Amino acid sequence: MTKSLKNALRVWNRPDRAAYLFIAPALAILFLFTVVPLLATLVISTLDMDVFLQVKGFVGLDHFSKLFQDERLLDAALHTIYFAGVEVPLQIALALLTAVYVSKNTRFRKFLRSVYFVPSICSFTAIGIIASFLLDPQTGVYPNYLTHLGLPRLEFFRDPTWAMPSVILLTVWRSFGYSMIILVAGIQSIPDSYYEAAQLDGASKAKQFFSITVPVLMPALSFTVITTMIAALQVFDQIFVTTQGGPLNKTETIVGYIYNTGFKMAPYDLGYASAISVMLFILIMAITLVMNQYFLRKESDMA
Amino acid sequence: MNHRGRFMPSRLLTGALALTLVAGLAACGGKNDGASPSASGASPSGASGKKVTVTFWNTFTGSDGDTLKEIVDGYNAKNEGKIEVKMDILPADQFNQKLPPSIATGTAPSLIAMSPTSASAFIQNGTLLPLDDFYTTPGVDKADFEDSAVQLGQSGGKTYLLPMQVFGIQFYWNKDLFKAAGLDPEKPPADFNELADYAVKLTDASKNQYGFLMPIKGAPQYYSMFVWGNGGDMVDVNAKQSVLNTPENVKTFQWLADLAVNKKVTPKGLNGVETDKLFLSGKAGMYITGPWLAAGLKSNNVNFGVSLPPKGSAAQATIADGVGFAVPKGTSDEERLAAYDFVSYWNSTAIAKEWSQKIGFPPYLKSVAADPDIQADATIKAMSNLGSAGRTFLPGIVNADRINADVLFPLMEQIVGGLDPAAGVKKASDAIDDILKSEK
Amino acid sequence: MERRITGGKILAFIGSAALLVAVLHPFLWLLVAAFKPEQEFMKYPPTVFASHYTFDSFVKVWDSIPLLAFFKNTVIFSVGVMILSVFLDSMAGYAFARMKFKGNKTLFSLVLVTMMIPFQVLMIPLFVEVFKLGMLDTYWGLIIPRAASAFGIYLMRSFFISLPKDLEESGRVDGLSEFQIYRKIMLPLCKSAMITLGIFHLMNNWNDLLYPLMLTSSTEMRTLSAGLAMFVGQRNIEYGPTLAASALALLPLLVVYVFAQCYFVQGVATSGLKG
Repeated sequence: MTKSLKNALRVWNRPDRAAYLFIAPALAILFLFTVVPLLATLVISTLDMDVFLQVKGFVGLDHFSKLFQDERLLDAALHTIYFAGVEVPLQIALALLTAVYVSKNTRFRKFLRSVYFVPSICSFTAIGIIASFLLDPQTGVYPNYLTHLGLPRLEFFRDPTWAMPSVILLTVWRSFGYSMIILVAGIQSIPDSYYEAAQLDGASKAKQFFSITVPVLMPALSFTVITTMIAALQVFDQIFVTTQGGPLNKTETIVGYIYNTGFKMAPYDLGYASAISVMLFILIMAITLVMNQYFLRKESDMA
Repeated sequence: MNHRGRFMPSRLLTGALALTLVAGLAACGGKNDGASPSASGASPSGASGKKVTVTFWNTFTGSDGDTLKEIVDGYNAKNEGKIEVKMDILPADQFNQKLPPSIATGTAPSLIAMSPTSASAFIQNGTLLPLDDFYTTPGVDKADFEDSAVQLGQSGGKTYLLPMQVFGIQFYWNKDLFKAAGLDPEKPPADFNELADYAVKLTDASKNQYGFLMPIKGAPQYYSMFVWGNGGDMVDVNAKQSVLNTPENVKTFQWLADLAVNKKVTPKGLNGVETDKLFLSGKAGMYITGPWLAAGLKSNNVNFGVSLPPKGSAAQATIADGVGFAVPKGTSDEERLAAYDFVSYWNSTAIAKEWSQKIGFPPYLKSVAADPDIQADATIKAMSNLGSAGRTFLPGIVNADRINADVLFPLMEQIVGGLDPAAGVKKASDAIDDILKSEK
Repeated sequence: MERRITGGKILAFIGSAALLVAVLHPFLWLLVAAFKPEQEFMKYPPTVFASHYTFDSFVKVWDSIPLLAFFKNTVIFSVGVMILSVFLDSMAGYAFARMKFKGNKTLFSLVLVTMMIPFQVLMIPLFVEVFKLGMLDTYWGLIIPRAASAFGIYLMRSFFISLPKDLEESGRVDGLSEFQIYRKIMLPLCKSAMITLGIFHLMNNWNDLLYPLMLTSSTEMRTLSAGLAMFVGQRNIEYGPTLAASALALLPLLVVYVFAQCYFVQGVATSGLKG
């Protein structure tokens, strides 16, 4: 090994410098394939442009002022907030509850842990197909059995009131295992010695949960809450395969509206779709930022 | 020592990862080489002996695609070493998302299949090539095509779509249910009044049985038969203006609302696939949809009849629609001519007959229509002749699909759900004018 | 006291068992339904079990799509993404969690920001970009844009941050370089997290429909999820084959999962620390 190479290695071996080498490859890829397209979207949002990439002119902020008069977009935003506001707490609560229960290494609980995750393996396409079969008011098994129990023939995805709750339940069913696994791994990274010490101090189970489990779990918990929230605000796939935004547009979300405006059919208004995307992006960023601040404070409080 | 020993598995793991990675890289490199000739092979050097590849995108997912595949395979076998049609079947949603940017980047296929309604946006911004010289290509007999089939692909005096299939929207009825309800199983309703009358007789909520199915999306524009039948229209396609909000149209939609809301002859909120399924299950008396349902009805042993939709107060009307072959901008002449060869093969009597018989679509070639086997098929024969009833849905309007999906079907959905038709029609009419603003 | 705990335990047991049934029964239904003859799906009133069962749907799937080629593409794409991304994500996550450097917070926030953009938005620019790079319709063009993910970096950071402090100090005392500290001390502790992330990447990419469909332009390059979409026609759904294809696309993932889940279960991180 030559001296200069050795020198270089030593220079880059300082933690504050080596860090850049650690993050460089990942950041390069994120920059090239996410940030660059995002910047392109920003530019497109100020253009009158269709999916054929034909630019018909510069419109400045016209698309953005149109946003505020678009009633259908407002509805879509409300539906998205409804979805996220109900789905995220449900999913996290169920995940936390099951995670605490199944993190103990008995044979039955190990089995539960593995099985609860299984729905998360499936694509929403497959799940949507299965759900549409089971819940079909005419030929589905569920509505039929429910009428045997004396209930009215429930319409699930077809009822304007119940379509969104049905989509939410389907999403929780599919995704709680996903959050649970992350939380279980977090709980298990807590050394047993912490609990042993607490037991010597005579702390109750509940006290142990709040003074040991929750603080150490905070990074994993904040991770699941924030990523679930981001995914919920971008909800599209499960709606696309079950209700396609209906009935009466009651399940149309922001991404669904972006898809409908820009990509589904003529006139393929990519400019306006991009403007909606930019708005959605800002909304998600604001919500995430607030949540992140909250969790960072918690993390430092508890550390 | 103990310390070091514990890290051994991780070293092994890293080594294994690295090995897999290298193996993966090698495999990928090889595959790339294997895959690229298809792209470069499509740009021929001009030598006449070279094989020309025609990439062909369409949305024939489902069972129709299997027959299409057989026909394409047959063509390729016949043209071994000269022309190869490489078909890529995509779901309609992905097809619509992928095609425009592909055309923009010059990575589009040389042949696509699409409906005249979706094609109008592409024609309007010049991304489809005019194909008038197809009909003068040696081996193509223009006289064999029905005029309606040729006209379906024309826009502004030029041909952009070559016939692939042509059809009208049909009226179906379930003969067994007719018999059970005391109606003549061989006689479909003659006019709208009879339709309403029969629909009530055929509905039996206790048996989950419905008289007349009214889908609220993902279906042919069946409401237009009623609007046209009563002498109305939806859009003045020349003035690009809504003509929906008239007293006669309000009356038509009130009549539809009465059937759905008061007489409950249809389940609410079904999309086209679901209403298809319901009719296939033998739980519905009458239905309006395309010829594609016939094959499924036969295989499900449903005793059905098919005819033109009943007459309205002014006329008998139905939708004439189809799918045509188009060639996107940027396709080389050599590929275009090769594509013509395939299209003319498709429109040969034997192949068109095979497609007709297997899929159950009516023929648009005179030679096929005259074929004794086709003549003997009562269902195909019943669907073949639209007479003067066939009309095109909003011809030449770029936003036709959007007006249908975002305004007219939602109007149906709201009315079936109980909205006052007069208010709904007015709102829909304004919405149409709003959308049409961009086309003026 | 004693009775209360027992009561709670019984309740928890019943609850978890009920959840088990709720989670599993649609898959059992799928297993039965994939072997039903096509006509059974039209029946009214609906039944769970059919009068007879056939392999017709599977035969149909086998006949209509190049299953093995799709399978190979799916494996190359999703496994390629998984390996590269787990590697790059864990490196970046480690640096963000445990190394002090200028711009740490800012850059990490930027990483988070990239997670907030729905794919539908990036799709067209990404398509054009991959085209300009000449990677359209190649395996590399599918793998590289996904070779690092904000989700993965975030996940790995969360795990590295919860490891006890001063782990790396002992490594520095032993004279290890920064990379050696990461590889020899940190990675073994995060094996379960890495496998978790690996599974996430594998299934996300395995199941993805739009992304691989956009970035490939020939049937030979398609993945299994695109094959699954083949049976859902615009005008007719082939119910049996759709369900059979769903089951076939699911099966390999399930097998991988069954083997990998022992790592979830073991909790490698804990055992590593205790030694």
